[in-house]
Amino acid sequence: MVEWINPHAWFHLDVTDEDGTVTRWRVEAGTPNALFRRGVTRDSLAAGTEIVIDGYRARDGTNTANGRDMTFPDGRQIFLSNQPVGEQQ
Amino acid sequence: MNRRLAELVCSLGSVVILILYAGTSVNAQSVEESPAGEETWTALTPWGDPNLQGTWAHDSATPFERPELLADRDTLTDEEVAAMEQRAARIFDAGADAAAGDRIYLEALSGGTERFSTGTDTAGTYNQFWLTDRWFENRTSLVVDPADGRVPPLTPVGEARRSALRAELAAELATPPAGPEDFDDGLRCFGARIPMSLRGYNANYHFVQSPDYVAIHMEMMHDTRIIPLDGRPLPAAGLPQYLGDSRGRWEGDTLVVETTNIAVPDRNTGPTPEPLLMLRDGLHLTERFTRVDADTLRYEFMIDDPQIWTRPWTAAFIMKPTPGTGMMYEFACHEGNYAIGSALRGARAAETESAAAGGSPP
Repeated sequence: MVEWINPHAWFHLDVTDEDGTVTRWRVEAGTPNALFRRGVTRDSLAAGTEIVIDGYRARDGTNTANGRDMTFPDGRQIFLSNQPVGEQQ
Repeated sequence: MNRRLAELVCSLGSVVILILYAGTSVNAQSVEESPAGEETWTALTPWGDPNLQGTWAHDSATPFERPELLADRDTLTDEEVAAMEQRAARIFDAGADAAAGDRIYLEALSGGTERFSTGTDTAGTYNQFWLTDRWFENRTSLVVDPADGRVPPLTPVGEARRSALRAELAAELATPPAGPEDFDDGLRCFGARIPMSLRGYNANYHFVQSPDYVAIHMEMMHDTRIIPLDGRPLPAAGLPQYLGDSRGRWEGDTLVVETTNIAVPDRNTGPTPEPLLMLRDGLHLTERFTRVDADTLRYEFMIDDPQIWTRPWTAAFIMKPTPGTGMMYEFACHEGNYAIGSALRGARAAETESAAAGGSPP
């Protein structure tokens, strides 16, 4: 789910490894006001969408990270260029 | 210790797929809603005052002070601006690290062609998408007086203040935060500051007028300046506040605002230009707002502190209509400000790690 909240939005994700173990991560994103002006909303990614996040894990070792890059599993980028989200493929 | 999440993925020995569950609730902020600002702009309000109303953003990439490389150029040609834009677009394309303050302009000016990187692999390095796009103008500095585009020399008192400020900031960086008081005012979600010097990060301002008042709602930090125009005098020295006491008057097409009783925040670093970190309580601030045309609002502020600078100086910001949806949004910073708690937990974790390794605290 997306926590559409100030000052920064958060993405909450279930991460499944090859053994089927699921862990919950929370990833910090940018300020929702700027994201919304770019066309991003809490509904921009449909439920169940598989994505890969590259970011920075919290120093305390919890499943918390500062998000940097988001891509689809085939490498296509999400939220990375200056194009409006609706035009990204 | 900071580690890239990608390294974590590798350490698990598998390709991990992150599954996102997007919320299904209806978002109250819809891009289909009507855009901000006036559909038909008129130069005057119905009661005859110059019309500043609308939602404005300061997203110019122009550096606060003129770069030495452009010492003899107060403006660039349209062709040079276009070249700067193209270079910035290349340097800050997909995957580049984010840059704030003067950085985008200075990187584009440097002539580099590589994708921008801060050169660090630490938490907080966004990619540029997470920030607001910046635009380029012909001017080469926001400082317009003195004519060289640079803040004038400091007095001896000013030099001492700057040295102390730099030492204080260095000490803060070298010392893990012990409690919330050790974070700057921005992280603590304290209120907005004047002069309104934000650039490119929620730097949006909603102007509303009546015959007797101008109100300026500042998206960050969710504060509104209420400026009387009815000729009442400025109050005597009293309780200092972040936004002070303001009085406005019209001089031709320009709204002139005088503000006293300003309490300058202790710290609010980020990309704030150093001269603005040196402002002091007791500042008498003069600001000028001029609607140049339908899509341009010029905002000037003059700083006159003869104990710090050898002469007054002025900066001019060019604001454009807020991009994208054109709307203001609430910036309720405290709503989900997990940063303070997370940073304190990180500092304690680093101390524990250091102690376990037999080292001295970082």
